Amino acid sequence: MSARGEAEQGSETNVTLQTSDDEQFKVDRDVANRSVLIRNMLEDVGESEQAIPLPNVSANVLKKVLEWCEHHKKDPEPLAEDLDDNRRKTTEISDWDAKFIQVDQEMLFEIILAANYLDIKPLLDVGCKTVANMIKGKQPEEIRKLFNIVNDFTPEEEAQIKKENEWAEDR
Amino acid sequence: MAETTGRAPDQPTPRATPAYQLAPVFTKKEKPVCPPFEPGDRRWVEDWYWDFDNPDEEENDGVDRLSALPVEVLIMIISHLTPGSLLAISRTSRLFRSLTSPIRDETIWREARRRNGWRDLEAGGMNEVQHAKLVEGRICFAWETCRRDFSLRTVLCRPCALRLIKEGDAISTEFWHLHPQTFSCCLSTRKKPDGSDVPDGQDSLFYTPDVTKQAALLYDKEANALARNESPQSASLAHVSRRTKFKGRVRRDAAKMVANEKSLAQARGVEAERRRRMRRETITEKMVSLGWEEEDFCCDCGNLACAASWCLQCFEDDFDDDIDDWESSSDERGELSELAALLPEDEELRDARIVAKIKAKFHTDCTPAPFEYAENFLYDDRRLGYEEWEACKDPLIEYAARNEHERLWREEQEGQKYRQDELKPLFERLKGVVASARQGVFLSLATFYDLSSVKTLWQDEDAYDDPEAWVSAEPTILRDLFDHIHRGKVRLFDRIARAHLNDGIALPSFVKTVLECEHGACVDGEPSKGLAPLHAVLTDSDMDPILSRLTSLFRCGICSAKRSYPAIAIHLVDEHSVTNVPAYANIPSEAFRQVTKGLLDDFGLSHDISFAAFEKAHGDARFDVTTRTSSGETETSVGETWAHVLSGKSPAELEAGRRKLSASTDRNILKIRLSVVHSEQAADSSPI
Repeated sequence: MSARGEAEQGSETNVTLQTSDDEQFKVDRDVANRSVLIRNMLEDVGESEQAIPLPNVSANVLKKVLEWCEHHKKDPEPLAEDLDDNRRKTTEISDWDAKFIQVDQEMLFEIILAANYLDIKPLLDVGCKTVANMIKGKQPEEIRKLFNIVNDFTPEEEAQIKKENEWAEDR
Repeated sequence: MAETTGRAPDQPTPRATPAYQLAPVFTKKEKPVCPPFEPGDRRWVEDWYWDFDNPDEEENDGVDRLSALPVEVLIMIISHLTPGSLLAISRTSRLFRSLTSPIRDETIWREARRRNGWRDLEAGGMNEVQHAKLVEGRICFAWETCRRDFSLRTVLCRPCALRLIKEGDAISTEFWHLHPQTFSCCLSTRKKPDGSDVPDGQDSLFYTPDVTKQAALLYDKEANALARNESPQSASLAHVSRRTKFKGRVRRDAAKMVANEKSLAQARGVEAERRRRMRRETITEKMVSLGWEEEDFCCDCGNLACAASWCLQCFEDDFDDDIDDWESSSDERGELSELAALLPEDEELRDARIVAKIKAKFHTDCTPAPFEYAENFLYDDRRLGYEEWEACKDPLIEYAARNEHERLWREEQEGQKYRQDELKPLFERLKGVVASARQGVFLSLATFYDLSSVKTLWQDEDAYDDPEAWVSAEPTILRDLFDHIHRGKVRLFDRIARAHLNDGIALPSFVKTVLECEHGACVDGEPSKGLAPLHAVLTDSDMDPILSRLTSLFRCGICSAKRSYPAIAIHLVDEHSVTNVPAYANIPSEAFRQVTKGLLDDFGLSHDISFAAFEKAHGDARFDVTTRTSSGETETSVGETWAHVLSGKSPAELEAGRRKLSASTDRNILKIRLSVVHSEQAADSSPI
């Protein structure tokens, strides 16, 4: 009886995820539950031995995302009002997260996209803050260079922007 | 032997840590190329060359991933920006301009402003974008720094500020038509365009366009009043009182903004320090994962490869103690005058001198990193990217490797020193055994350690683990000792016997044959190759009768004292701690040898009389010694004792102090005669 109970427990605590490049990851349900998308799917599907397909996430990105979920699996569920708390400083990223996100630009954006798709709000937040920190303190030309943004303003728009730069106050 | 076994097992507790087990190249994933460590050689530190490429400027793959993100994510990113960076990103491309458009959503701007502590304006009069420009905008992009003046509500580059922010008088002179009430309506500041404060008692400064605008407004109000048939004075006064209230509110806004600017700068400083710490930790983690010890690339102060010319942090920690120590020790040693001499100096100069002293004493081993490397790589506050690490890690690895070489070298030295000290009792015991057998001749401690049979007992760390080896090594060590002493004796014998051959003093025929057949005591004159074949068969009974002659005196190469064979070796080892006795046991000058012969002739004695017999007969006598001085004159010292004659120094020189004893120049003796003054004494003591 007890052995059976354990077996049930075991199947319940493990979830198999399948990436876009057909790699399978077996993770704790606690870890997988960090993703609202996966949690909803599990609730909808119920108990299943079948792997959950994640067609928008590749193996190397999922590995990184799961590393984050594993570290944060004990975190309390954020309260709704916390998410919109504007008083929080943008630089507030924990040391662990800051080190976790020290990756190249390609991986950084992949993680943001994956967090967005998997609906992992705190991870998405970390990614967005990191990008915001990269933008901070830079001139427009430096930002363009950093992210390869193409300057697509027409000459008229450029002139308009230049004019706006001039000091003008309504009094 | 029982003594040895009883002592050997007491293993020391402070064991030296393992050293040089495997060369780092076998244990490290990243292999540096560095020369072996040499004590005192700091070239590799001083040559540390560093060519830094800013990784931000490096070419990337050219893909714009940011703009490709979903709009809701971009809005999340934008919602974390500051007012200044909102201004910047709104000027990068159409996409970001539309996302940040205040027409679309002014709340982004308002929230960014409030999140950074910039409060709503009491005086009003600005929209969110203008507000953002005032608090964090940069009007002149060509200039790194722009003058922001919250009291005037202006953001100006330096040339513009110098041109437009002036005293009221200067503006009145330039614009003579200003309304008399103009300056009561204008915003004013107590900050000069160069950033310094306007001194008390001087007038405040105004923004010229504001002044002319207010003058125009006042005239406009008056004109309108006249047209309505009202009093122009009351119209202008109404404007003045409205502006006065506005000015008060602007002043209060400005005070809050100044405070917020300060706290933001402070927060930025804290954040930068945190990023620097994280960067340090990341670099440390990466180095450790490559197999390097933290102590080899971190200074005691906790910084990576210290950037100071010596370790600044540990210096500062010690500074006060060191100064106290230095001052108190100066007092104790009676160096008060030196300290007093320093006092009238400039305080900075004095500190610099003390710093130099302390540095020389405590901080000679601190190794600085090249300044640019430390500033741009080690202490920067950027996040450390993979590419940057790959591009910049090599010098640090090189540095760690060299430090490791040095550390292992030091540890090995300490270990060897410890094991050598453990051998001292053995040295003392063997000294007793050998000295009794070899007329008291023994070796210096350094020579003892250097014997191949002794070396194996301390050089290698493993040797220590086997106390049995000490016991079993004893016969070999004794053989080595006897051999070493015998070889030295043969070399000295060869030297003095050739002098006799040269001076025409009689020698046994066997000795003559040996000297004629072999050109030197050693094979090819090289001590390390061993004794020449015929010299190898010379026994003590062949050598001792010749070495004991009075004519076989040696001169000490260090103090010029004259001694016969065993005495010269004992003298050199005991008095001068000489490791290589044959190198310092010289033959006296030919003149001195002739003088000795002449002395024997005077006494009518044979040339092969022994030193001991002569000393017994005439040791108490006094002698007149004639020498040639350095200026070429002859000089006679009357009534010297036998000990004086042998000392190599004149009695005057001996009295002059100990320092002269170490001068190796022998006095140039021309003649030694029995002293006439003391002849009676001599005659009494021993008629031969």
